[in-house]
Amino acid sequence: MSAVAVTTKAPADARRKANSELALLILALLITVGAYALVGLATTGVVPGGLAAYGGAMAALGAAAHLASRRLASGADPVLLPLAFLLNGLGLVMVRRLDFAEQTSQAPAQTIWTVVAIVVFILTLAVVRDHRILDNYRYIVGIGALAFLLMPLLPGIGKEVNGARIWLGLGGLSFQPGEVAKLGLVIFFASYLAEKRALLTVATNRLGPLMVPPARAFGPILAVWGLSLSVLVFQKDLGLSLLVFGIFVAMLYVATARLTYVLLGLALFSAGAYAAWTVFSHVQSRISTWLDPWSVYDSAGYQVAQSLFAMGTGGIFGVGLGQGRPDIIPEVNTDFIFAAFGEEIGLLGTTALLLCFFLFVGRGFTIAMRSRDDFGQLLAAGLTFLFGLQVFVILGGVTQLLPLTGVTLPFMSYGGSSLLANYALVALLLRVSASSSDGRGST
Amino acid sequence: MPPIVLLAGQALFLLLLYLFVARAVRVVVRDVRSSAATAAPVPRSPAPKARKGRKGQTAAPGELVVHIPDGRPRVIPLDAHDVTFGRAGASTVVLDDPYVSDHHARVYLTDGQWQVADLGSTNGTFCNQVKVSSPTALTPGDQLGIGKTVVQVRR
Repeated sequence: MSAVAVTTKAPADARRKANSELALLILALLITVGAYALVGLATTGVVPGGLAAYGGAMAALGAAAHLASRRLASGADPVLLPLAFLLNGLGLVMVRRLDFAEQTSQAPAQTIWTVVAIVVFILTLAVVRDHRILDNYRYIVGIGALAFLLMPLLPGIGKEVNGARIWLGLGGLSFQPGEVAKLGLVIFFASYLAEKRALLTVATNRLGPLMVPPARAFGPILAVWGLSLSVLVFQKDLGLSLLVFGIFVAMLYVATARLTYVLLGLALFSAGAYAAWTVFSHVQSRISTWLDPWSVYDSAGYQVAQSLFAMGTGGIFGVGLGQGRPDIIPEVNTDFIFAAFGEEIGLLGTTALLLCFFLFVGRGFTIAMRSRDDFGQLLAAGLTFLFGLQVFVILGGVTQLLPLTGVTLPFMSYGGSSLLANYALVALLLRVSASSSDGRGST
Repeated sequence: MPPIVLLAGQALFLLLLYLFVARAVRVVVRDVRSSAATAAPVPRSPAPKARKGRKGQTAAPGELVVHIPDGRPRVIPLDAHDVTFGRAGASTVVLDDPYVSDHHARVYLTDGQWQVADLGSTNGTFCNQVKVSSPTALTPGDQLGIGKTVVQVRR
């Protein structure tokens, strides 16, 4: 009882947060089940037979995830998990809807991946009881991430799909280790920068109006630049390469607050991008397609053009779930799933989805700001930046704001590796959030 | 299926979607407000000084005097708000000192008692020359050491 007397505020606060999380999760469940029913009604004319099973499965998964966050991360942020759950649920509905249109059967696999991802979420919360233990395993995590990143290059287990060598094939299963490697890299960067931030911050030289750190402080950024270029050269994955470098520059800026690194990062990025453009034909075709998809409408520009048509057809209110023709867009269930939403739920619906992503990123940075240790701060900021940059890059590609780079839309795209990694990301953010909310200043 | 049903379903779906967003935003706003109430960065209005101090039997600290090397001493009233020290711009007292961490130390009120806690700083926080390893209660006359800065605790 004496312990309770000291921290009476904390448990009540944690309970209130957990209850808001539960309320939001129930609402998210209602929305996804409703969306599924609507898809069934529109495509087959009847409420789909698997509705009860689907609703029950999602309810069980949501309940399990909620209990885990209530028990294992008491006082953590109440909004992140429901956001993830809603986006995941709607993504699953859309994958099912595309099954109807394309006569495929990908929804069952994606459902199994969802179960696995929730298990990973719970395990992450259960194993990582304090995010600072990750700090102690920085080199193991870092080397592991590097190994995961380069694993698809190994002959035998690595597979090349659509020109990018980022897949592992084991038996019938395929997996993108790069998705998990990104998390490992963020953990490693956070740990490294938390220790070295003072060293990297000190500015000794003056360059025009800027105070510049000594030359050897630029070593790390050059090393990561080399790594991201090698991903681009050997795996031909623009998206992953961009993300790796982007995360590091962003985290370096968060750690040191030195604009010099951002400018240098941009310069290095431009140099790398220009070199890639001159050397690789696939990069050239991506750029020219981006600049003018209509001149190559029937070949390279077909995908982006169809995506734009789909969103235009959707208009403000959308043509209705299950009533569009999203199957015309190639790769609609992975990279272009947002275009399918654009057609069927329109500007209003996609704006709501964007608000969800926006809230997620906002909460992530709030967690970073509230964290009481450097490592937690950098970890939360890095994970959030990874998430946000990925959303920005793929939505920019789908809407022709940016050249298309193949990354998945977190939680929504078809693909198990990405789903799994993103749930682990949420678990880590909740862990950092919980540690900064338990009785301020105690222990 | 009559189109009107699908249309109604679509409208309901969009409505629910926005209801979710609105509820999520409300939770966020409540969270931001409540944390702003407990940890306001800067005491804007000079609140009644040390209300708790006058009521309590034992002398409770009423203000902090911050002696920044080569700077004028600064008086910070202790009034329910947390006082944070650090190099980060969000700190109540921003110390431009290479020996101070971004989020260095925090002085806060729990159960009517002012305490000082180190926020995992690199060089530590000292209370009467002793390194603060766990939250330590403050009494008037104590001296805190944060980097090169000395902070006096007064009534």
